[in-house]
Amino acid sequence: TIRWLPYSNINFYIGIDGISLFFVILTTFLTPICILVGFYSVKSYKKEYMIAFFICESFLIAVFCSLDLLIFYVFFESVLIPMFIIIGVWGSRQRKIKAAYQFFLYTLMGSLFMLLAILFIFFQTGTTDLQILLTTEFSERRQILLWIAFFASFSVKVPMVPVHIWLPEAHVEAPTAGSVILAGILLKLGTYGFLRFSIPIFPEATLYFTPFIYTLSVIAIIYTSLTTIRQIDLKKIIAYSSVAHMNFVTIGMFSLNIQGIEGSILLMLSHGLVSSALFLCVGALYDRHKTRIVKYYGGLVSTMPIFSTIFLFFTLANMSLPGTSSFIGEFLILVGAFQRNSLVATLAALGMILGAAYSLWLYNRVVFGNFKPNFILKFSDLNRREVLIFLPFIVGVIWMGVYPEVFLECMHTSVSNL
Amino acid sequence: MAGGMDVHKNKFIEQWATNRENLEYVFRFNRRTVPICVFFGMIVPFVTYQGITAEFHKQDQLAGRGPRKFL
Repeated sequence: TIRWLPYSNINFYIGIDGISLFFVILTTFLTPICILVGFYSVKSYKKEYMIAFFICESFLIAVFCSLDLLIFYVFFESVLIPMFIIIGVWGSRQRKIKAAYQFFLYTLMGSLFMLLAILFIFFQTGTTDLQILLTTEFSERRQILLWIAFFASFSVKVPMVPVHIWLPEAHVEAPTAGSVILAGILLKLGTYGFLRFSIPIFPEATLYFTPFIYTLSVIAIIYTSLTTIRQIDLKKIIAYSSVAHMNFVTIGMFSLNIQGIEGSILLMLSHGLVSSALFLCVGALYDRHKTRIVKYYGGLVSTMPIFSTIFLFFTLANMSLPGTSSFIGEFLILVGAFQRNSLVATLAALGMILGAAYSLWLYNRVVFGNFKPNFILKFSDLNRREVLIFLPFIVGVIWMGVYPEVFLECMHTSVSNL
Repeated sequence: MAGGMDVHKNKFIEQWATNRENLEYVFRFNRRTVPICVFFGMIVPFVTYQGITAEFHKQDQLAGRGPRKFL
């Protein structure tokens, strides 16, 4: 504990448990990957690029370690600044400015309500210490209002429909490493906020809003999966599939049982690996050919066999093939959700089918089919640096998919205490 | 990462991609789009919500307790 505003009884409480441990590890795992990715592709302001990523990493670790509501909020918002700079400066097209502003303003506007709620909590209880707030009882009406305020902030970050529009824009316009950080860690801030704050501090409001969350999540899964199928930009396909996966996580989280919550945490970790790796695959193609439009690609299996193999592995992981990490997460989520509401589980499972549809179709169009010499004549397979970047992701996905007990055991006590 | 193998862009594909990307600027509420938006934006979520709450209330009935309050 570090005394920050002692006269206001607000201190810098930091701590870690079985839940936040994995997110901190994920953050520290992905940041060096981002540095490696930008080693040759970033041509301008290299020093500033590194500084932005390290600052972002610091803020992200602080978010996951915060045990004080106000400190959490400060770092939750602070993450936006380096990300805004990363998207706005090192993005690929002129549209990056609009995407950066959209990303920043969407999240900030949602979070303003959360700040009001935090101030209200502080004036009522005299503290923003999480451990004290967990023992504080709010009236049902106050819980509902405060829960809505927190929801306004976290739902944008998840992202939930209909405040998800910033995500495809931000992902497409961000540089490859920016997309890795966005998909790998930033999206988890919203669901982490639900898990750490909304659910334990406002339990009655959580029960009150459970069908609402289920409805939004199910609608998001199905609608965004259908939207993914019709996309023509490689990065947008993965971005929209991220929306579907994160809404799967919220279904598991709000099932409020151990299987659902553990499944949601596992799926978050898995998504952090798989989605990041998919963005790296797209980044490898974009660095070579300077286009993300699916129409230009075809027959990559004969010209880039190593890339095709790695891309296949992560495509299968993305559609939750048994043996990969996503399957464990989604299975546990469906088990947990089915115990609460079978209709939700059924509709969510439909999303899995759509996930397989868009994943396989994407892979088919890009890797198989006819080679298109009219558009792309020269090819170069992945080099050693790029293969080494993918190896840790492959190890992580297989480890979590084959032997998840290591991860489940670590988080079990913390999840049981929620 | 490696580079130097730029695509030979096709103006029709680029135009198609641009149209897809800027769909929100040409979207208009008209006789065709309004019923679609109302159906997928309001009716489907409403029906889904009713179905989910109905199942919760059925669980309450089977457990012999009063129906839970939701939004």
